[in-house]
Amino acid sequence: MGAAETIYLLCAATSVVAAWMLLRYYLVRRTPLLLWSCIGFMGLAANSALVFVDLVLFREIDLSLPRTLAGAAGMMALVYGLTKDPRP
Amino acid sequence: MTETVVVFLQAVSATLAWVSGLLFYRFWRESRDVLFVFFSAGFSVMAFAWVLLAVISPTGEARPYIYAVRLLAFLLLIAGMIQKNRST
Amino acid sequence: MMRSDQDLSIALQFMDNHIASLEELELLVALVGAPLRWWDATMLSRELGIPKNVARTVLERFARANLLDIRVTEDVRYQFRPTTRDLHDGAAALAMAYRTKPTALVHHLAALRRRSVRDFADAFRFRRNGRG
Repeated sequence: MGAAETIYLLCAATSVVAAWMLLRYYLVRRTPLLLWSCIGFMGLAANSALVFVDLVLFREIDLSLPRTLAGAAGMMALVYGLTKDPRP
Repeated sequence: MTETVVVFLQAVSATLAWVSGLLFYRFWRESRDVLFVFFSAGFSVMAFAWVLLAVISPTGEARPYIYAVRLLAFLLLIAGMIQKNRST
Repeated sequence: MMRSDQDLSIALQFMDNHIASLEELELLVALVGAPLRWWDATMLSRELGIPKNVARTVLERFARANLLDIRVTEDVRYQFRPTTRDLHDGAAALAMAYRTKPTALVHHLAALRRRSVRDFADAFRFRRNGRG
């Protein structure tokens, strides 16, 4: 596995860990920001994971659209959470 | 056509990541929690990674300069998370 | 002393459930202060110096929360008439606290956002120290 694959796997793993930590705390506190940030990091995880899959499968399938969509959707969720009314 | 959409989504992601960086910076100013400095920097660098993709090579995630920037972004996020657990 | 602490805590709880900004607080206090009056967005906007569309949105939200009665003439008008005793007491406590302890309310409003931000940072602690 080359450098690129390793790095995208690391990015995906980091995003998954972040999403999980946010979800775990959301279940305790019920703060909306935590839920939206969790969704945001899941989008980033999907983005990185799909890059990894694309690299490993040597472009047999082109995943550029789904992975970019996942990244953008994740970022939209994150910014929405960061700017939302804090009241649960 | 697909490439145009991919570039558009990368531009959206870059902009939203940049905005996230600004918002995390503001959170740092309000809370003085150093985690937010790392997250602000991380998302700002992530924005730059998306800009590079969109402008130079929309499907070039395997290129070293692209994944090096992405790696830097996530290392900053990881550093923030580690730092959070060392200071408390 | 204890009575006023109780009132403040009722006021803060009401605020947590219904108030997200200073404009909303001032709007509600104005409504509670003149309970026989029928208000519309224009009147409130003029009296409080807030934008009309903001006043309109907040009035609609208070009405949906069963705090206000609505009457539709040429313009939509609202009157303070909560449907339950609890809502009435909460709003009254809030209006009273606005007169006697306004800084406590303002700090609580600011703290809501601060709590949200702190929760985000606390989420990244691997171990919980019992606080949850």
